[in-house]
Amino acid sequence: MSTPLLSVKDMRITFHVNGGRDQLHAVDGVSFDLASGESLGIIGESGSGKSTIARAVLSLLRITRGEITMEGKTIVTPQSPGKPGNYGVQIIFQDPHAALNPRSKIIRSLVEPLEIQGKGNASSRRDMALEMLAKVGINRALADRYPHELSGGQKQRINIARALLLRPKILVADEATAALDVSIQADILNLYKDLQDEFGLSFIVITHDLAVASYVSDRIAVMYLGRFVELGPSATLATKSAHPYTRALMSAEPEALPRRLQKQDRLVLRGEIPSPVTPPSGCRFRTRCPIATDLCAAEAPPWREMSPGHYSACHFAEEVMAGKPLDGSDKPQNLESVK
Amino acid sequence: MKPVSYRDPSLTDNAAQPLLSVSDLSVYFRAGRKSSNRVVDNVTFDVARGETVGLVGESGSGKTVTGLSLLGLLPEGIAWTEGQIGFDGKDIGKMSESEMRRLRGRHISMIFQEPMTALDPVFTIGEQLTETLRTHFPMSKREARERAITALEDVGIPLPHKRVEEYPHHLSGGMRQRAMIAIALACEPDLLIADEPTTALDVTIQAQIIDLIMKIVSDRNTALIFISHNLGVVSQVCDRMITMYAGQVVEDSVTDEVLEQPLHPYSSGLLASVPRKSVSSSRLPSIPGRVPSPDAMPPGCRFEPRCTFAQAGCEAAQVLHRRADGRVVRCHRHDQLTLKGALT
Ligand SMILES: Nc1ncnc2c1ncn2[C@@H]1O[C@H](COP(=O)(O)OP(=O)(O)O)[C@@H](O)[C@H]1O
Ligand SMILES: Nc1ncnc2c1ncn2[C@@H]1O[C@H](COP(=O)(O)OP(=O)(O)O)[C@@H](O)[C@H]1O
Ligand code: SF4
Ligand code: SF4
Ligand SMILES: [Mg+2]
Ligand SMILES: [Mg+2]
Repeated sequence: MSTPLLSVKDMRITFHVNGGRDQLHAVDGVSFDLASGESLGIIGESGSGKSTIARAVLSLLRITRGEITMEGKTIVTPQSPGKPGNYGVQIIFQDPHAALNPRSKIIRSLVEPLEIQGKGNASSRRDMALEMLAKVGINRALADRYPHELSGGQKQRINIARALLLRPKILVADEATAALDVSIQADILNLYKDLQDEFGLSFIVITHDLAVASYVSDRIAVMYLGRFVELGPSATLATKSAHPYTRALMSAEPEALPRRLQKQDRLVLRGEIPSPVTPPSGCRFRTRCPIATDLCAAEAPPWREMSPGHYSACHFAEEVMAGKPLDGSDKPQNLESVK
Repeated sequence: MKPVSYRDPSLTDNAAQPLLSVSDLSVYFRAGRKSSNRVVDNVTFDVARGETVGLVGESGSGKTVTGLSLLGLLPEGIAWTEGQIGFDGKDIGKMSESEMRRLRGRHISMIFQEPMTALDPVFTIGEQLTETLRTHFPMSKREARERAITALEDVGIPLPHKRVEEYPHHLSGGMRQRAMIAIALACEPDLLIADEPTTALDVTIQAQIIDLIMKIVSDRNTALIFISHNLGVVSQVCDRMITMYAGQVVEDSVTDEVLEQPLHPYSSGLLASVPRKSVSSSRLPSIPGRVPSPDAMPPGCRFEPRCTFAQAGCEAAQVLHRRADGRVVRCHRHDQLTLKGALT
């Protein structure tokens, strides 16, 4: 196999909380690869550690264990944190206002990172910025406007343009469309696909919206309480998931369909995500898992490859994949029943 | 505990008459010294007892303002309304503030996306519940406290006798949402207005809250106006769906009918732009352009600048057509167009 573009190996990120008394492993042993031009979705409830992974991949925080490599070269270890922005990863966040200076014209926010990196001269930087605006579908005339004169969708495009000007290989989108209206979201998701085609750009798309993840990602990682619980091709997760948590997330997401086509056996998870300071023993999902047994409390399920490229951490992954009912009944549940 | 009758004897309970009847409601906001913007324009719809109605549309289309005006909660001095809001046969618009106060919380309640807009950080959950109950029903403090505990239990809050003593900031996001719902529903109102109540929540917690709201409104025959930009949630919760665009109602139909066969190009466009798990590689259709701002409304059909079906006749202002099949749509081409729905 060729060397992956990005490789995260057994990464742990620990925060000290409660005045330093307690350790919180926000990310606890996560590994994944990202190929060039690939798009990986990371989904999971809030608090599961998705943004912490994003910040680590950008070297915005120090990792506690493991390493991150880019094209085979080690760039981040606990001893030597990487330099943000230096190795081809850029990020866009949920809040489109946050990254733009409200008192500067758009063009200023775009050329500033280029200045800092010492790229070109004043006029070539302006040209590069205007060209990039056109690429993300923003009229050049808006370059001399201020952020408050633009809509949320336009600002998010400008954030994307700003990130792309630094010629990243990977763009991390952390809930970047969560605050946008569906029609604007559709535009931005289409733009991701265009950028993948045009620049061969790779994406890490962090979202709590499974449909968004399925739409833009080649593969999806499902995260729960600091760990990946399942990872595989998007289509496989949608139809043959091998983890109860993934099935619960799929089942919880309401689809805009007439009543007669809506899932009848919607699985609603009990309770909320526990505190990562004191995670449950064994399988971390067991306090909410509808099919947990004593084994789940005693032993953490290993990360197993169920089919090529499809991994799951569940003692009963085979049964779940075969459609084991998750509501205590004995009728098999077919994920494809809704079509 | 002696039973409290939540039924208000003054209510007519006339099944033939809608519980809520909004006609030609317009809402204006002051904009500058002499001008104003009409942000809600001649909105007309009815809600029957026990009916669940979704209010959908992009942000800025006037959903929240419509909801607030039904409760008389628009910011005083800068906003005013025109038109009639009939509730159980009485005109809310003509009520005094003290009459409104008796109605709010007792007959009509509202819940919000952010529970802290409704919860008071300096009072315990129990104090806020008993306050609401005692405002509307004659009962002792002790009795109100017991009812508060039951109310928390009804919304699935674990250890309710402990939670009554807690302040809102001690609760998780999902639990705060439940506490707000408990307060809004404590007096068993006839109409609940829910403004994006699950938008900030994870899908798992959203599913819990949806189930809770659906169970309570159906058990108690409470009418529900569910404001959301999430068509998936609305298709699960609501019998009927009203689509708003730029301050106007553009479609009002039974939810399943809109999903299968929308009548307004805007409803169709919204449905198409929702990403779906089942469909992946194709491009997502989106609606070009953006919602016009209230001070620059197109003179004709407000959707015309973004509509791919626009033609002669669309430059004229559009009226609501009441069709023979009972559906309501604001587009003169409604019987010429066959638009894409959720399944096409
Ligand atoms: N700087 C920090 N200090 C302490 N705890 C943090 C910090 N950042 C994140 N956490 C905790 O780490 C966990 C994961 O957070 P996060 O990565 O933001 O999750 P997600 O993005 O999936 O919602 C949460 O429990 C959060 O409270
Ligand atoms: N307090 C206010 N002052 C001025 N304009 C307002 C105010 N609140 C809302 N508006 C305007 O009313 C219109 C409708 O807003 P809103 O009802 O919040 O939309 P929605 O809930 O559909 O997103 C928008 O154009 C908004 O800018
Ligand atoms: S290991 Fe046990 S608790 Fe964990 S997901 Fe599988 S069945 Fe559920
Ligand atoms: S009136 Fe014309 S422009 Fe407006 S929605 Fe109908 S077809 Fe489109
Ligand atoms: Mg996050
Ligand atoms: Mg609103």
